[in-house]
Amino acid sequence: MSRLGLSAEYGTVATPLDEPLLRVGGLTVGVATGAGRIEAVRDVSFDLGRGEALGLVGESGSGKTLTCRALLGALPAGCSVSGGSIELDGISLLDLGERRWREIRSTRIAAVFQDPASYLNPSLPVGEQLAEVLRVKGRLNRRDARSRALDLMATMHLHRPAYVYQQIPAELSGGMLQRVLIAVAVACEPALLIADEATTALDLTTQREVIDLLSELRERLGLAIVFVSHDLAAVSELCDRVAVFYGGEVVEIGTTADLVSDPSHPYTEALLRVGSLGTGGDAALEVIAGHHPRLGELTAGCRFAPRCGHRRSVCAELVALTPVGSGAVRCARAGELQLAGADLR
Amino acid sequence: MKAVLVKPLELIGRALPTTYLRIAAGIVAFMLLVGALGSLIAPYDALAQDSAHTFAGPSWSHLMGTDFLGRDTLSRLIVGARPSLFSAVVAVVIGLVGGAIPGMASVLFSRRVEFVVMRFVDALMTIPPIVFAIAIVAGFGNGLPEAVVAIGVLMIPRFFRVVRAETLKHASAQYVEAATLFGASKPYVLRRHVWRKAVPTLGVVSASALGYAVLGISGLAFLGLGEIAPQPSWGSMLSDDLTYLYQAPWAAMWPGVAISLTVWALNALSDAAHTGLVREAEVPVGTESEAPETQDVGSVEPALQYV
Amino acid sequence: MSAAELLRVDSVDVHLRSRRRASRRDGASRILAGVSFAVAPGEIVGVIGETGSGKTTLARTVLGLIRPTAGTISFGGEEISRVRGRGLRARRRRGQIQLVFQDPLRSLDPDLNVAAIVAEGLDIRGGMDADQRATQVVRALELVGLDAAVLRRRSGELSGGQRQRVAIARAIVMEPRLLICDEPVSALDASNRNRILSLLLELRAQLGLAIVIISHDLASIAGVVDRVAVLYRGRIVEDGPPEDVFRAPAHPYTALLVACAPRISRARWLFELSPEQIRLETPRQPVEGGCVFMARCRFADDRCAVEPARAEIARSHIVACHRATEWRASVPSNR
Repeated sequence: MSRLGLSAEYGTVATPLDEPLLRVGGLTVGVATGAGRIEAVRDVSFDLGRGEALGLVGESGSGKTLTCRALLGALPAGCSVSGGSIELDGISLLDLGERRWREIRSTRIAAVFQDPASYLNPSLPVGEQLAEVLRVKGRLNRRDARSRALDLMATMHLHRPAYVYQQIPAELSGGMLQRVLIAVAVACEPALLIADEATTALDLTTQREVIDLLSELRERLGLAIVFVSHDLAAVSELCDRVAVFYGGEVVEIGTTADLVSDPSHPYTEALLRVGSLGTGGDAALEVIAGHHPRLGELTAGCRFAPRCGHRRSVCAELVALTPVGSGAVRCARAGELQLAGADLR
Repeated sequence: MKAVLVKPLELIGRALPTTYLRIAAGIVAFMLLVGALGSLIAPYDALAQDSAHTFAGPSWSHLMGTDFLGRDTLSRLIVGARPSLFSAVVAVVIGLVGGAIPGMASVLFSRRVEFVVMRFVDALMTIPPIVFAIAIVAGFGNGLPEAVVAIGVLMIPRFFRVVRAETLKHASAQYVEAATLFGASKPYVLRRHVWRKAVPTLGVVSASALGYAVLGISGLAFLGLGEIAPQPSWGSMLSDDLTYLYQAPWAAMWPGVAISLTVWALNALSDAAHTGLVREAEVPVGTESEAPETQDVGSVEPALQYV
Repeated sequence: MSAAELLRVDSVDVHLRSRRRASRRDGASRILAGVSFAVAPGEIVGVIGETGSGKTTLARTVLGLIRPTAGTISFGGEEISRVRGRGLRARRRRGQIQLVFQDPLRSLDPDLNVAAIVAEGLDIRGGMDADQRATQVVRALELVGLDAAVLRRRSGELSGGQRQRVAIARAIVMEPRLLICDEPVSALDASNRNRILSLLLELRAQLGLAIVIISHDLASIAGVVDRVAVLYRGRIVEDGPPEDVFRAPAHPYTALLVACAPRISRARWLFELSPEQIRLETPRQPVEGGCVFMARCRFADDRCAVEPARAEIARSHIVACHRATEWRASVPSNR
């Protein structure tokens, strides 16, 4: 039985055996601005099963990072959830007290971010920092924490863990630091890992190694991953399913293969167009005309309409997420459009 | 010039939303005003002695009482504000000019000259302030100008170091390197890009230096170095009052409070300006971030050293 | 040296600056070793390198910010790597080589407006009055697709793409013959990236500029460059036309890069190998004086204990690998 990745409101059936680990339903996050309260994230819904990898793709400002922060209970000041639900293993993550969050973070849900160096104390050896997490959250004693830390580092394919253990962050490369942080994240074996632009700005070879590592952790630990990136290519390398964000909404969600070969939303099609790798002498470099709307520029109906070549008057109205194929799409003209998939050269 | 002044004022203005800070600013402004008006607003002649009314406590005719020679304390406090405050300002100016200009220029020097200059400044910093002041007085005679020069010179190292640090910090910015790549000379770069960015910090340091100078000048006066009697100054008043503590225990309070309030207010304002600066420098955390730069083997040494 | 070359970098070595009297010339402190490549007028060359490859050092050496310990750099026929002091400043004021920095946010003075930023080079060069400078500035902004409305704005008020354009405008207002762009698009998403790359192509067409694009990933240069040089730990391991270098890489490291590049459709490889087939799981012990890639290379044999020389395997396609022609055959294809 394939997972459909939609919450119950959309009328799909999930068997009790593969009850989703994470259910996000109609999540709406409001931001307080000078011009009043704006919904920076609107009606975001997706499910994530155990050991599944879901990609969140979108430009900066599209709401994917804010969604992640809501999942971690770490919304910045001025932002708050104004609607919808988030359930992890049946527990609602909204309105949890700080104490409860402290219990959940690291043990049930963990995260890694961009720029690993800024998440580590620059003067302490990285191994110590990993061991500290194990002592505090895992309640191990010093000796056990150290040996478990070394094991974890070996699991992350850090060669010569004993040597790396003693290095301070400045002595290690970005890829190695990211691996240490992934070790910190999975140290207490959470069920869900959120990777927010975790491979952005890494070297190609390093990026690949980190993606492979995440893939391996999925299999070994049954870790579910939410992988956020603006790079559709990186997302498609790791994730079985992808949710495309635009203007604070999910405009399309589906399996990677279907999304890539047969997109249903014009924005997804545009992303595929600009993301293909040329090798010189190719046709003109593709762009998407216009720019991603800022907070104050969000339109009432379809938020992509101003940049969409297929827009009609119907697009000015609010559009709901409707099931299509293996996923769903938010487009008033979804049924009518013939969109092109990625050029499979 | 105006553009340069606006920034620190703006910063202070924005950092003065609290009553605490407004009081501080008010005190400084008040003290400066009193100092400026001086004998114009003093009820009595600060030097007029009245042997019939020595050590008088506060009363309607003498709001703060009289000192050991029957002189009105309030008047002396008012007239004494000028030497205590304005001389502090002069001392700070000496320190600023003597320290800031060499500080910025030192970045242009070759490594050897820089080394010598730095050691000289270090030496200046190691001299005990009081000993230095005594030496100046011994060499040039006692008086307010000598005390001011002494304090001023003692403040040169702090300005030198701060301005030099700021200059170095800003000189290693990428836009400075860009200007260098256009063939700019170091003086051009300092003029165009660096010095206006050092000014806010300079303002902060000046404010706290003012506090130090007030204290320093008062301290020297307390020891008898500086304004010569019978001219009033807060420090010398304090010294006299402590001599006669048994006869008039309350008297020392007046100059003491005047000094402490002023120094406190100056420090509070300097802190506020500093906090305001720090907040300005913080990069706003927003969703504007696009993917940042890759890690790179970047060159570490500032551009100016390669030219 | 061919007369048709605009920039020629010849066997350049750059060592870490050492304070000790005996300069450390061992292999370990060499950031660049024997780097040679050339750029013809109007040519767009891509230099691909990951962290530690020395790509930024290379750019800075060409610009005279770093002095090479060996080798020469010639521009327009003149040797430029040994010029210092006043001569260097005079040469820079001529502005024939310009740099576009990696991070436009840091390379633009936040206190200056766009007009002042773009005019700075002209201001330093002198010889123009304010009106002439203003005309040039507006023209440069038009060339990069920015409206005169941005003239009064500061860099903080612009978007990332706009900032990058201002940085480019600042460089081209000097009418350079060579533009060096250090990671011009890494901070941008796909659409903006393509916009800027198209802009560079257009500038080449309109101004006859030669451009060197330095990048860590393939997406930044694919579809734009006439030639690509692959830099690995201070050495150019491959240099040739992108179609050849990316579709049929002759050096295992290039192959590894191409294999690691994320692609939207997994079903097709640009190049049929996977990273695991090229790199070693556990790196082997590197040999002093040997090939730089040897430690990670699955195909290394005894010959690789000696640093390979550059060899031309096809017209204008150069590789530094002992096994350049053989290693590919030893791996089964994935197709």
